[in-house]
Amino acid sequence: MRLAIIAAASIAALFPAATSARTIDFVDIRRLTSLSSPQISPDGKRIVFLRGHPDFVKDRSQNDLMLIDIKTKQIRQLTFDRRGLTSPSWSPDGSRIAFLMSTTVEGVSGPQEEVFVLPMNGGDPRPVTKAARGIDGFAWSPNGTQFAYITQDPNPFKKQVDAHLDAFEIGANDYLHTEAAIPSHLWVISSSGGTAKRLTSGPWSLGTVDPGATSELTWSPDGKQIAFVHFPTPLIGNSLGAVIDVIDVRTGKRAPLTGNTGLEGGPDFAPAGNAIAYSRNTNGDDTNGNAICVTHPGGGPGKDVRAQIDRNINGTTWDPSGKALWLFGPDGPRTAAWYVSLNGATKRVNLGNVALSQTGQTARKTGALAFVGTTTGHPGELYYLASPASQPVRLTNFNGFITKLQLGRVAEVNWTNDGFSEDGVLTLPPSFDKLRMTGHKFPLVLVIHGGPQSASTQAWNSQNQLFAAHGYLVFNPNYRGSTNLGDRYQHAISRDAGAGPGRDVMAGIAAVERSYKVDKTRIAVSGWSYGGYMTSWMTGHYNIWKTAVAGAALNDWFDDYNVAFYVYTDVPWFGGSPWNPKYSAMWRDQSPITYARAIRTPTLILGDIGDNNVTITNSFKMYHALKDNGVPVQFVAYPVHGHFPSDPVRSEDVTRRWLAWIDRYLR
Amino acid sequence: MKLFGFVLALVVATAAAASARTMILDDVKALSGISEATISPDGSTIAFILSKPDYKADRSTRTLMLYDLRDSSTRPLTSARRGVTSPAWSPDGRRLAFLSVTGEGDKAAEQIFLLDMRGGDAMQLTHAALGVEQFTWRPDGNAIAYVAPDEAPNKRDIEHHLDAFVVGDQAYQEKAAPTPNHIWLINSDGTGDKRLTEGTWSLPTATPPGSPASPLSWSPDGKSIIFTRMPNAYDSDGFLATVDVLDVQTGAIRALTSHGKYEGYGDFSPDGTKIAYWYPFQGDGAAQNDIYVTAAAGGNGTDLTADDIDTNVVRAIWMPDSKSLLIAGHKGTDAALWLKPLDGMAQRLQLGPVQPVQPFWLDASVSTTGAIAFTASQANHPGELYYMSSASAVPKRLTSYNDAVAQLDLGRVQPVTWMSEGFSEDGTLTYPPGYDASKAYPLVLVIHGGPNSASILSFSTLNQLLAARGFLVFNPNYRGSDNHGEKYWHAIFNDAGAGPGRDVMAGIATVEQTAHVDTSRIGVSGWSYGGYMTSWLEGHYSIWKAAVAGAAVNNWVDEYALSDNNVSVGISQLSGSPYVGNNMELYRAQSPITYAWNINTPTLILSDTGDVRVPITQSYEMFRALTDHGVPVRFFAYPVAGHSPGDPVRALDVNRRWIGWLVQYLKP
Repeated sequence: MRLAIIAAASIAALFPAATSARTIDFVDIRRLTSLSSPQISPDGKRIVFLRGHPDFVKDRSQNDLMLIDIKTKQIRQLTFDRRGLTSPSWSPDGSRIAFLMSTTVEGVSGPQEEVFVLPMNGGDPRPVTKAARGIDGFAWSPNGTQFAYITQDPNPFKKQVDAHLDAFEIGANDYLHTEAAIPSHLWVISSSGGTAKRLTSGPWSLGTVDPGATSELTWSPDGKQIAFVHFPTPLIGNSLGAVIDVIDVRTGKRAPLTGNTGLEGGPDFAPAGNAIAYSRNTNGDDTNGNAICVTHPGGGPGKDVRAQIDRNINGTTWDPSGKALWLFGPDGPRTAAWYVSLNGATKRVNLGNVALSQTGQTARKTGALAFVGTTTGHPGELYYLASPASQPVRLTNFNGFITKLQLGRVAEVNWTNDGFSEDGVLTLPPSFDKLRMTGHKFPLVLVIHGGPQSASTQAWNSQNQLFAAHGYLVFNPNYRGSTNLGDRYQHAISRDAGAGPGRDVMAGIAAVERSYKVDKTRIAVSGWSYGGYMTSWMTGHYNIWKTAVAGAALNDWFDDYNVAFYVYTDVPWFGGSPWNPKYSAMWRDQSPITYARAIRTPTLILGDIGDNNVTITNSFKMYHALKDNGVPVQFVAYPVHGHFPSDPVRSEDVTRRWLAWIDRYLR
Repeated sequence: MKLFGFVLALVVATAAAASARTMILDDVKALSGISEATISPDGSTIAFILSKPDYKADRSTRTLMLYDLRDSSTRPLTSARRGVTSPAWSPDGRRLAFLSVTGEGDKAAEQIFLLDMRGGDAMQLTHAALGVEQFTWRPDGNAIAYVAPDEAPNKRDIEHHLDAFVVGDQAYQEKAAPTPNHIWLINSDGTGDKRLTEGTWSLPTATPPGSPASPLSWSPDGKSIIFTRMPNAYDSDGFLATVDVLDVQTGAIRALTSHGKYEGYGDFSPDGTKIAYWYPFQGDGAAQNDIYVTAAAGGNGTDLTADDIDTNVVRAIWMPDSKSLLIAGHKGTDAALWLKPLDGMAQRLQLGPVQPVQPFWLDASVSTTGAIAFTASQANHPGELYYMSSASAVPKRLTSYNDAVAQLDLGRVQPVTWMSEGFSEDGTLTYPPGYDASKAYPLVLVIHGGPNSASILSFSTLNQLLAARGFLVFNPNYRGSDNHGEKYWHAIFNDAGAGPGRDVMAGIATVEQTAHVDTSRIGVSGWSYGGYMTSWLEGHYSIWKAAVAGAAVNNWVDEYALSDNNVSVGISQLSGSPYVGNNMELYRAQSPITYAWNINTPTLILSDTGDVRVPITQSYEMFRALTDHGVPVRFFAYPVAGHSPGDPVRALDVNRRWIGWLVQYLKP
């Protein structure tokens, strides 16, 4: 399983309001409410979800737990001023809601995330777990009497570390590590608290450290077994070997589910019977999309139930019957949901113009689904889907104020290149219709998605709207490697990281120019992460750009392998180690830094100093290369950890600088 | 001026024990460090810093000490102060200023303290927000000029998380734009604190390992201050530094010379008529450092040390007569001192086996009587305080802090000399205690860093520890070392590995003729540029049974793009940026990582995660390459800042792992 190198800057977490004919601005984005973690109650009558507001003074987001009654659409706030609240989950009988929340555990320094249970007949949430290193994930047992949870082991070297004998041995970790990676393991505890019981131990792990990929936990309906993801080590760099194990809760006996040697994830027991769904890249090739297979313990790899869909699936949930699955993923320039019966019938659900952004599980009694969705003109709201045959119903209107602004219209762009039918999303300036009549030529800004396993689809996008409000056509091209057109397309970026995708993007620009009046002297290219890679690649290979913004750009594949957290997970993309003379040239030839001398485009470079995903080393190299060749360059760094500044203040600052740089050259 | 300052900084100091026992790791714990020998103006007392490791608290306790030459007594001057450093006598000798750390956490900062030698507690003189970098007494003793960093102009924004910063030529782990250092003046009674300079330009900051930041120097009339000026606060642009003169009254600043770069360490002669300063031979940024002398009024002056000293000068101290300078630099396998008249031949001081401490800087001072106080070691005696009543006197050891280690059964140390490609070269060889020429011994190379440094006949803890385990220990010098003049120094430019590698191999051949080496058991090791040499030699020769590569420079591109030296690598080591023209081929050809797939030697890799001199990225690269090639390799990282662990516990742990790896594979 490859963790996406990044979805394009997910700046979409914030948002806004205003008077009639005004265009959108940062002040509007600040007012946006973000919704997440929608969970429908077992009886299908209520939905619990998280409502987030950015606090620009404290520079954090406040998440409150909210409850909506589906029939009356009445909303009630369930928690007040709680910190670090995530992962709400109904008890199987719907009488309680469990969630993770920051708290201080006695004898442990610093707040930890622990499981709390909120009784739905009144009363404060009560802490259940007291794990010294916090809870990474948890799941109710089917009868609601227990939780399975994952927590990191104590550091076995603590005594030595306290004495400064803290040298640690390097393995497949990234270069920002300052201590040995400690595994996480599986425990069970009564849902009313008490003494926890450890179920697993060893140098392997149920999760990875920084970034913390945590195993899903799923109980068999009879409560006797738990399936989870077994990572060979707590490091992403070794995660290609991740497989699903099933453990007997009583005996602790543990066995692999399928016999596959890796790339497994997302185990999910069917509500009835002993079927398990799980995800794995098609044919066990990491450079293919996620397939969804269904099997049962001891049943081997099972069957790929999405074979005929041929799309990359990034979410699933069982129908309560256990006889069908919902699958979610991008499909061309839109997001899609499919309803797949185990007997083979597949139905693409009609979502209209609603884009899925977060889905929950189906209601145990009714099979209905709650999700957070957007449209190109309306930021995230809570939606309800009664059945695969019905239309989504919007339940909330937290962000309706934004629709009163003059927004940019969003259009689909299609083209063909190198035998691929490709697409992208184009956001028009709000002034488009007025100016078009005057023969106006529009400056064009490319904002290229990251990943590359991701896709630009028709959905609300704050960044696109902010940019369009400054008079730009904003183009989000997809390119081979994107996840929206099937395995052949997604796989095509393997061993061809830049050249093919680059031609795809150029063909996309030509398509835009065919349909819209583009000022060809004013074209900018930009992106974050793999979008930054694409930006650096495009400026090194084409000379049509007036300016560029390269955020957290992957410029040197060697850095990705040697010092970022990817390590061995990069190997399938090139076939072998970059240090093996047989493969070195490929890694180098596909690195934008190799072509840096050809770049003449004034470039803004952005990055986090503490980024272990696309390390800042990439940006330092490009900065020196541009400066030494006399190319106008500004390199602005954020002194924070992570792949993108996650706090409201810095995250807005990124978008402001990005837009200001483009304005400086294009406006 | 620091251009590329790697050093093998593992020698903590030195220690205690019984008679005929050989040295063990625990003996290191008893070693004391003696530094900053500061003789009083009248030459009657010497202030110095005594540093004792505290393994429990894992820090060194630094105490300002006073040695009285009149009765040979020693007493501590400070008690329980933190980070005591930089003692400086007032011109009349009545007061002693020093720096000490005040405040906790991120408020911790060095401030100037004054001790009145008539008695009384030390008084805190400054309260600089971000601390004091350095200071110098005004000649009348009534004021002190000091250098302090400016606070960030956007401090308030930063507090509100608007802390994104424009990156310049700086190291890859820094979390803010550097702020400039500027000169301030404060009366010695604590009044009248005022700023003398301002602007986006800056005075340098010390970036260890390397020479201290270029000190301020007052004209004897107190009207002018010489200082080193960098065009901005980005340390790596420091090669553009010039020696400038500040008129204290008017604030006017003028450049001393017309060079425009590579200058530093300007110093008024005691009579105020002349200025000595550092500048490379013939103005070549890749050349060794010479001392130039010019008139106080300005001008480029002349190179004083090119001809009869011809070594990389690490310090020049004016003698009281203003007619000569005390010059320090490596010469062969010695740390040499010269008395260099402005008009006459240099005379080398007769130091016998005494090796003044001097990588990057001579730790010495001269009184108005011409007496010299300095710290030094000998091959069989760790560092102590030394004294010469004049430049022609025999050096006298004043302290005995490390007698216990000196009395152990230590390995004999001898110079080794050989010829390689027209160069007369040398190194040192440490024999196992009780060496028996009828037996063959495994050989371990410990190669010095820099590369512009040298292995000399000084005390080496690591050498002695290895010798005590039964190894012959060879410290080769190689082209690029700073002990054989400009030609030798310069020969490493654009030839970072191949030439130096052949030098080392020729040295081994000589060692094999000198001592009884088991040629099937040879290990290679080093830190920093010594790590570079280790990786290079592993990739080009296959005689090694084991290797230890500490903070190894494996990839010149990373040095250029990520390290705190960054762009200056393209001046002092290789010609130009790797990103211009075909230079990338040059960088690649000279980088050990390019040959990593040839390596089959079991290798221990060590590095600090927070090393900005040699970014740990390079150790990761070598680790991945060796792992992927199936070579036995282990890589341990220390989660600390700096080019090598500076605290007692981790420094000892480095030695323990280093020795342990060699013992495991070479089985002495």
